[in-house]
Amino acid sequence: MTPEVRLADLVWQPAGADAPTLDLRGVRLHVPAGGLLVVEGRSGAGKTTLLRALAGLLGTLLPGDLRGELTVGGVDLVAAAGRLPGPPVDHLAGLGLLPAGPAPANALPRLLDDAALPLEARRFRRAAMAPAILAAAGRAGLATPLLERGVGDLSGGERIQAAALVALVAGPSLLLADEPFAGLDAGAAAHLRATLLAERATRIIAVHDAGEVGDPSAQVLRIGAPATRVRVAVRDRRPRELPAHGHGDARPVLQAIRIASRARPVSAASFALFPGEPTLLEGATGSGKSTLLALAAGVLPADEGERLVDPHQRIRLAPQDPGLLLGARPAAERLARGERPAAERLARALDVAHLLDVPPGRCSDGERRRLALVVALAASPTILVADEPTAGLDDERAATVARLLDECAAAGAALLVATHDPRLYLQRERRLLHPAETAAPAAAPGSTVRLPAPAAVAVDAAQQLLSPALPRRLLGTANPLTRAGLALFWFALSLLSPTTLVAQGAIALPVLLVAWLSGVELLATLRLAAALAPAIAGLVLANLLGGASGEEAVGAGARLVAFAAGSLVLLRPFEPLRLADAAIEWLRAPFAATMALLATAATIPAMRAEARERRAIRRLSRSAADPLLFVDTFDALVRAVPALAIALEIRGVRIPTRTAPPTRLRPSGFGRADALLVAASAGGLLVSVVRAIADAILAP
Amino acid sequence: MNGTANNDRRTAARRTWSLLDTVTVATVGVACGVLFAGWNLLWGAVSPLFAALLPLQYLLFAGTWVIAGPLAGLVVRRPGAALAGEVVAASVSFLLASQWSVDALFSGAAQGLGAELALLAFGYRRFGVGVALLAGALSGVGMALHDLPLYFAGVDAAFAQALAAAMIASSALVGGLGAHLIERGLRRSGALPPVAA
Repeated sequence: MTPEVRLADLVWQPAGADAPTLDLRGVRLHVPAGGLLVVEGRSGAGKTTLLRALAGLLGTLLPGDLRGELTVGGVDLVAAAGRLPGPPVDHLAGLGLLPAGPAPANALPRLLDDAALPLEARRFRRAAMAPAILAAAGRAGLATPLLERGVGDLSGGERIQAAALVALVAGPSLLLADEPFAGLDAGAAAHLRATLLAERATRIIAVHDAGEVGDPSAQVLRIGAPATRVRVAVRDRRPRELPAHGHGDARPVLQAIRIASRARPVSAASFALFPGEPTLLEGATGSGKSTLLALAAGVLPADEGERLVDPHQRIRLAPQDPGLLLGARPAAERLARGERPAAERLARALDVAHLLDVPPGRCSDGERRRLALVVALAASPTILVADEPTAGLDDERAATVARLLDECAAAGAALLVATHDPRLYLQRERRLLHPAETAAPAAAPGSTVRLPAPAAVAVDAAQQLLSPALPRRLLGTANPLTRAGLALFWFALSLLSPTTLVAQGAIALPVLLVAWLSGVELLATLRLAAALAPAIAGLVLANLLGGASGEEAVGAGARLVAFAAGSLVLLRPFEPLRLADAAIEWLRAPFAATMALLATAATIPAMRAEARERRAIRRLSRSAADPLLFVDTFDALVRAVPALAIALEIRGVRIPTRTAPPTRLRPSGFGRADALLVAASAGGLLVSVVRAIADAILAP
Repeated sequence: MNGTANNDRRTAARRTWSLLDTVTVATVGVACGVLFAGWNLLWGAVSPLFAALLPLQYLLFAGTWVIAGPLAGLVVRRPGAALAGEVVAASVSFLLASQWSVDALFSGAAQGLGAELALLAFGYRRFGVGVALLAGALSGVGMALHDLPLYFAGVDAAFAQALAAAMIASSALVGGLGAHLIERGLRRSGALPPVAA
């Protein structure tokens, strides 16, 4: 049933804050069932907070004090605040929330699994899941092949479309969208706009300009200080200047020839940057603009092609995610000596002067974006690379950003700016459409395409040798629960057996055999061996020096081998998603907690990649070791917690109960492979027992 | 002005974990688990150097392995958080291939239980530096109770006592005090909300 929304005098004060961050005293409104409300406000006005209140997250999942009146379809969300640990389940069932981009808003790494989560939680039949996901992808404007990709590998625009897909997939009756058009190209934005306007749900859309929604009859709520309307430079549709002409004899400060990265699958690009010239990089959502910027700035190493850059250039990058540049400490600490006066001037222009000494965690997204620009510009870079510098900013501030970029170019810097923003227009700009205009190599020395390094080839060959294809194919499909059970079994056996070389060795050998059959990963094994060998040596030696007998000491070492061998069986290949599926299906593991654990563990690869990127961005300005890097990474992880908790919550992981379990997209079963593994282990056990009996007989 | 109402709400909410609590514990656990996996390698690498001075190795390096318990307990402040945090961290280090294999889970449980008992002793009301030190120290007791019989069954009593002392001291300083400093840093940077006094 489509709900109506009633709201009056709503005030929200987060736990620990001195003042309310959303204050709608005197505002009273009613959105009829199936109606549309547009919330308009500038960056930091509280649009996201209001949507979170409507999603039922405030005072429940997010601690704090919610007052006033707010009911959605008869569910009293103010009464729920402070009483429930999350939004009321009745409310969650019909909720779709599209959070503001461009940070990934997924709970599970692969888009298909992430999109299935709301359906599983709401007990859709398995057969109905694929059609629902495909239909929602079409409505979000997302190409179907992207379903197999990781959300973290998608471009900023595609991530918004992915979030829209997840919000739409279960057919919500209340649809909340936070800046859904920021960062999308015109075509993708128009498609999503049409979808949102055609939805039958009650819809609430937050934007910085009500005109974006394009429905003049919609009810509009303006919050925060009214934005001053400054129409800067309506984009003029002149024919593009031809690239690489009209530079006279100016030499490019940076030249890229067919550069690409294996880490992110986008087409190779060629371009040149000239001093004093802003290059505006345009291109469809998902064409790989951010990757190109990272390659240009040198924070992502180019595996292919060549990047020629004049030495002694001061390169600065203002990334799409400002947190990568800022870290956990106040922006002022990111400034080099002598940059403070310039930073203060820039910060005043961008209205963030009071935030220079405040930890970025306490600032809004828009404020952090402006702070990152301040830090990047304060260094007076000779090459400035900026990714969507005006995304989510209102007209006035977008105009200020354009003016500051102009100043930077006028001072002789080469600019490379990726943007979707039709408002952004720079003096003497050159527009470059990616990939159409970056595909042709600029006239320059012949490009090189590197082959895989010989070391990688050798590793592949050894991998083939170590784990034979046939048993690997057969056994690789074993249920992770079987593997976990066997690892525990071998561990217990090792624990129960006497600490002697013979007894522990008898356990280790068959386990190693099983591990080999099930497909050992060479690198992981070598890494384990590298840790294990000295650990065993140290343990044996320490036992001897501590007064243990030789036999006891060697036995303690052998036990470590037996332990580690079990670890191999369980881990190769390690598939957390299948393990979680099996645990939910066969062990009745609680859905919400299992998914929370899985979603967090799934961030490990992203966390490592992000730490690398963070280090590379910071190295642009600081060559010395950066002890705060680890702290910043951990801080960023903790700061990402609410977003992940919200992602899980709005997908509805708290809906299933013990009596009404979730449905599953991926069935978890046991098969031939499991039987074979158990048989192999039973054979190993037999060897152990025979060995023990033989020992007992031979000992006297 | 409405202190009573707020306090009532807080106590009521305290009984159930929200997804925010679950994800926070999981995040602390996973991050520490990755740290532990690296520490396992370091531990392996330095083992031969310290073979003659094993208590010293424990004093210098062992405390890192218990930090997840006190940290999760101080950050989330709910019953069970410390135990869950250390067990998650141990599981992750095990899943990333650890030389201690499944036993990492049992070590983690023993150490996490120590930290949990320290927080329980103060009724989950106090989370200052003293409580953090105690949580670390009790984690060290858990480590000693688990490790000594399993890996050092045959050693002299004096050697075992030296090892236990090193484990407890290291756990209190690195695990307990370290967790306290990290928690304070996180609250100051705004990554965690400040706690109402």
